[in-house]
Amino acid sequence: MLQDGNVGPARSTIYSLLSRCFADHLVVDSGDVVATLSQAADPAVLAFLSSQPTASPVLAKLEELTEVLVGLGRDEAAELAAQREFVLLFLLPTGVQPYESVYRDPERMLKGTSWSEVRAFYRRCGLAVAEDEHHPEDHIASELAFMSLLSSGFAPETVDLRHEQRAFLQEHLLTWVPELVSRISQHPKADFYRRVGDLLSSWVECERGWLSDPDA
Amino acid sequence: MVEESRTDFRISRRTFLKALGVTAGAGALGAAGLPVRFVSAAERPVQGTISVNTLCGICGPNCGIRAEVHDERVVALHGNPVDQVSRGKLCVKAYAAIKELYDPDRLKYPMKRTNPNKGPGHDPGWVKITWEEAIALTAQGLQKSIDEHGPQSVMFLSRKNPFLNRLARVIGTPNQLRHESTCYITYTSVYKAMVGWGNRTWHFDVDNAKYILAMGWDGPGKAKNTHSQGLVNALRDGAKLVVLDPRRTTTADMAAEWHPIKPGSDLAFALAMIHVIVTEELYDQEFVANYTTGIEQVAAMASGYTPEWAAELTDIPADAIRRIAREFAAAKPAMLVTHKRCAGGPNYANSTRLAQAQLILQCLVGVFDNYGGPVGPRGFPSVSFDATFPSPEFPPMYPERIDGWDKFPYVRHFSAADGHFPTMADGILNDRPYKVRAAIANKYNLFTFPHTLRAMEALKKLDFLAVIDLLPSELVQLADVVLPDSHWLEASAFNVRGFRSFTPQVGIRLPASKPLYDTRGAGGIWLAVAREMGFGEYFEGVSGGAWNNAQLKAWGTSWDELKDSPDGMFTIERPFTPATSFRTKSGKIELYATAFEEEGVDPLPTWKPKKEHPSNEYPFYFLISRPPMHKMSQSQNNELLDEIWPENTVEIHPNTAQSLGLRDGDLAKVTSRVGSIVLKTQVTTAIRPDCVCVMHGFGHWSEQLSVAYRKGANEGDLIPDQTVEEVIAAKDPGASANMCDFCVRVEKA
Repeated sequence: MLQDGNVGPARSTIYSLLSRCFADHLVVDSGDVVATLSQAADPAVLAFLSSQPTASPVLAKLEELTEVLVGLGRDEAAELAAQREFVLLFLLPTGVQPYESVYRDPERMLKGTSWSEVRAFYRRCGLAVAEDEHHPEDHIASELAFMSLLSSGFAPETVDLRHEQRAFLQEHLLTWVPELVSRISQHPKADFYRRVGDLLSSWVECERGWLSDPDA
Repeated sequence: MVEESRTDFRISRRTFLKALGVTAGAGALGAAGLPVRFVSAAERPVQGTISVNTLCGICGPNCGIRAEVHDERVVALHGNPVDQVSRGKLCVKAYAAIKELYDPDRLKYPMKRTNPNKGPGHDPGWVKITWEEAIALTAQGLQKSIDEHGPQSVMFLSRKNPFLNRLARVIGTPNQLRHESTCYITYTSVYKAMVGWGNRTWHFDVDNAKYILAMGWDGPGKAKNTHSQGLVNALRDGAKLVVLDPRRTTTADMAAEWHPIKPGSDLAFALAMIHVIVTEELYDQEFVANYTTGIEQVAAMASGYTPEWAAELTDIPADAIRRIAREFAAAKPAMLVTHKRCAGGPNYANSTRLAQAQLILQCLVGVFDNYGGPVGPRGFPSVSFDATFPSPEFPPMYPERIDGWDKFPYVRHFSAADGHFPTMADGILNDRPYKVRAAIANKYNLFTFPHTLRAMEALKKLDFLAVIDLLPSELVQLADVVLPDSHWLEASAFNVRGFRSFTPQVGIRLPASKPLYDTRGAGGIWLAVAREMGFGEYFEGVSGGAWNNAQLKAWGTSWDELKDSPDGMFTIERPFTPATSFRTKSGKIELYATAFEEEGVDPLPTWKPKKEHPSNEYPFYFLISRPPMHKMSQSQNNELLDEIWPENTVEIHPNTAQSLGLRDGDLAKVTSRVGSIVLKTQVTTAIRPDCVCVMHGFGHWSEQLSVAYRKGANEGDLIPDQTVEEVIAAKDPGASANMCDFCVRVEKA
């Protein structure tokens, strides 16, 4: 199934949308959210999600998130609240810390062992996070962007894309995203990003399902 | 544009996905279009293990470091053996600094406040902003205050920086406040008046001393790298160490003798030593004759200060004082090592006079600026910022200051300091002599200020406050705009070796890590704010790099040469020769400080008691110390250091604890005349029964300091602040915060 010509771009788009949500706060005026959502709303993506029984929660969450985003577009106070929530959850210590190292390494610091492993993984696939980026390699937005690239086929020909995607999911995303999402949903100040977390959660569960399918 | 994009969203949920889908295609995404930009791995090849020359940024000595960096990750810090200061070794604070660099609690992006309510319990409602917005908001905040209340209404709280100094001058505000009143001010004043140097010396050649007298100095207990190494070397070579301290400190545990002196009475001890050495003619007559003036006046002053007189004031037997004085004079060289946290620091109303007396003693035994004594800096000639970067004429500077600094000429003339922290709150809260309504604070936490809660009220009163910091400290919680600082392991700089410098040496700080987040150093921030405010013509050609290079070139090297040097050090090999002339009017060290006399200040350290004494209401002396692994109030969020020393306690002698009904671990309430704190009791015999001690740096109420939050208490809440009138009345040329010069009561909480 993963080889299906439409599936790769569709998955890539959803990873890209999720990456965007965690990479920076939402500024409706900036237009990049609209663009990203537009891609997620492509008929091919919607057709792909509609056709998969395991993807129906993803579609539902995507629709919910869209509704909230429409609301943000109408309401400056709501947009500001979402921006405050972004800082509180992802930039300040009382939030959830969106770095794999913080979850998986006992030292609870950045650039831990997990960071090295993620970085090595990217290299193995011929990729590296650009030097001027402020997100380390194991930030959730970086990991999701990486999967977006792999699922769109953006890697050297020597890379076994299917194998590497499975491996990255198993070795990295699935090892800490459930805990990240759980922390987001339990955070007393989480509102908009609880929905983003729900979408992420349903998406990685969907991905987990495909991974366990030997025909995928 | 704004309306259009909002209109785009005014579409019902039912049609939204479809509507968007019509216009957008889900083509393959390129690497550049992603929220996180990826490049080919070839552009960022694996970086093996490299060594980066850098300098510690935790405290003043800036110890030379070789950072071991493996594939863009700092894995270890080692002392740089070529550095005179660190001599290849570091202290616990430096070794733990990687944990701070990679602390996920760090401030990551500029932010602005959206909740106008400030203080504990109020969520600032931070929103992420760009640097451009942050600088623009900061410039607007200052400009609004200037427009409404005048240029003097702008205040800067920061360590010395030439860019900031020029910004303040262009604005026309005199209010640059630095922290020396809680630091070295007593010593800097005395050195300026008696030796003529612009600053105190930082270099004590402890290694070569044969007799070391510590009046509250506790270098090893505070993990002071340079001089602790010196002490260990000296003791190994057979030196005798004598410690006067109300607490049995780490240094006291290493000493041949510990004398639990009564707090604030060290001046009496020093005067009695002078008495013995002068009356018994034990002093170094050749040194005194050749290099000093005023021995006759010193002798006359000291004639009444007998050991018997001092015994009553100090609680140290007269025969011990006499014996120590004789030993000090006989041992060559004998050293009186000092630090800002000892009795001569900014702690008591008589500390400046103690600093004078200590300098006199050091001259009496003839080891000033010589092996085994306090050694003046062997540095490089200073380079003028104004000559390097000429500017148009500055507007007139408003003459009066918010902290009253203009009214203390006898302090200003002798001080490398600028400003007085203890009077800041009183000035702002009373709008005296005028309103201050906007400020930028650079890496000072609220806990830096005496009577911290009052300082907080004053800073809350500002209409605009921008804060430059590394972690979300308490002061950050009061900010309108947060300007995240880069960590010193991400920064570039140089530093002249001052804490041990037998020969001129300058070291370079190269970034061991690229900035992890969207952070900037303070120097660039001052420049950006100045240019945003329209002062670009005053900063033509000014940059950190240009200023660094101008100084290094004047000294015979350059940034590039230093950067490429294998050791990161530029050293001028020159034999060490003691100074034979000094920068006073007489050209000699003035034991009788005529410069003080000209300002109407006592030229001799005649006896003056400390300010406050135990009473029925406040029966205990209050002492402050610092744990060895922590740096002021900056390091408590470091998990490694937290693991060793997570909170402070009130240290109480067992007899005292028993009389108060306190047991080890009980919560105790400590009250001074300005405030109360509650913290755990620690019963210890290592303190006088009439004293209690609290370590500084704890009691963080910023919940964003996830490790340090609510551990212990801030002793600064107990320290009285000051009015300008009080400072004028004291007429102390080293006017300080008198941080331990008050008493407290203790009760079960």
